[in-house]
Amino acid sequence: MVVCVVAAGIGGYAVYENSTKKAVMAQQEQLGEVSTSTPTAQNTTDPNQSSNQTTILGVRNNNDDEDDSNDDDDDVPANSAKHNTPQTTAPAPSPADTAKKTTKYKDGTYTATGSYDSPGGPDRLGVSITIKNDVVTSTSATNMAGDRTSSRYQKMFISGYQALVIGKNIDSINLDIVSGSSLTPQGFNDALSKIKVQAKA
Amino acid sequence: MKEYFEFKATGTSWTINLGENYSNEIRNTIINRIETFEQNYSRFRSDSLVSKMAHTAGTYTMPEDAKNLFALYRRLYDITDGMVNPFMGKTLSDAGYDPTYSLQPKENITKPPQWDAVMKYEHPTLTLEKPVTFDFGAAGKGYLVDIVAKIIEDSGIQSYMINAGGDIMYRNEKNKSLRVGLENPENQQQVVGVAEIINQSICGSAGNRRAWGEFTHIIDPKTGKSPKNILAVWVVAENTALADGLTTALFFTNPEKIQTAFKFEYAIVYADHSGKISPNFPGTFFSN
Repeated sequence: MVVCVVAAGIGGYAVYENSTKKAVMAQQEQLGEVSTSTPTAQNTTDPNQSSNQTTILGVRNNNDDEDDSNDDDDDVPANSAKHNTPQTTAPAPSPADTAKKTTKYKDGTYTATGSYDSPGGPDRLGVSITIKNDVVTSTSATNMAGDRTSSRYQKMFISGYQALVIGKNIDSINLDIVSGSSLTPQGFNDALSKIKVQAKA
Repeated sequence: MKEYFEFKATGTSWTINLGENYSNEIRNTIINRIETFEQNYSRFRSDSLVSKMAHTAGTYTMPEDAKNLFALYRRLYDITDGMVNPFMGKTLSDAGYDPTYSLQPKENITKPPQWDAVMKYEHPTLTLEKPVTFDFGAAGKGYLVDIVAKIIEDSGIQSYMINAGGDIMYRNEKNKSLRVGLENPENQQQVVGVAEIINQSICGSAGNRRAWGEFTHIIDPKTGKSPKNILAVWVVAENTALADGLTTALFFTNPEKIQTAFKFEYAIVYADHSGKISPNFPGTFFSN
């Protein structure tokens, strides 16, 4: 699959720097429950398979705004960092977030290292996810492979899955208008809901 | 002073913003013109011109605006090897996308005929070898946006925006750009990217809203099935008819081939959530 999201990649880099600073600013360390999956060698050689996995995580709400011309970073609490840096530990949730409502998972960035046996010997892959309001808002992976072949496969995996398109909430972006599939007439919507009722019956 | 007006037409919601140049007169002119267009080209109206053509073969004298509409469809038909086909009305109806929105697919989905097998058209004379149900869903709405734009410009207005359910034409004499969110095909509260257009049109197409069972409003004329490999497509072009028609074409034919025949920029989200954007597309996707 050819992937071409050039400018978004550059935007991502800007966020990387910014968020690293924020992570350093975070005073309190918080290590949540981390489930460490052990990727197989096959996983790392199949970017598509891995892509599908992360898509489920990555496509949902992402409140980060990577658009430089519309930088509303002021609205982001300093320690609800968004980043691609697996080596940093989780920032503390902002007091406002924790007081507001009960979530299943604490906001923050969680990191883990998976290990697996490749034909070249044991190898490791670093994985990091950021959770906000029980939604995974970003994921990243770090190449920790020891030998060159593994490293090449891990790089393929990382570049393949990072370039997926993700959604961001409309109200977090400064827009004049939205373009998508055309709004449907009421008759169509009515018919569709009837079908859904039939399907459930 | 009211700056914009909204109305329902062509099966969707329209918004037209004329700024301080709004008047009731131009509003009425526009709405009447759209009504005439639908009366000719809507297969959802039993008394329309195309509904007559669906029942009766023979020779028809076509209205003036048919000339460019059919010319565009012919170019799209040729570059997509017949995948963008103006005779999809029966196919869509069979799939359930009929005037009553039954959304109940028939067992056998009729495949559309080949262009040259059923129609000869030398403006204004169109001859049908047999009755055939047109559907102008691929480019008709964009074409109508351009017709409305001409009415607006002929009245001396140079800054305006027309939004026909997400198919957008925008002109601004001070070169102020319009920031357009690219709607997430899986979540209408989200966008997957942003485009900035100025004196251009942008159209989007996705299967998310007009979807029922295995079908969307886009059906492959050769297999009778809706394509599943693409989630959403946007096209930026000089005019709206082209942008609209090309979004459908991109569901079937690779962009590099289509670019040999048309000048446009595109952004595509595939089913695996990877994205592809033409080098000069005036915008980006968000990626993780």
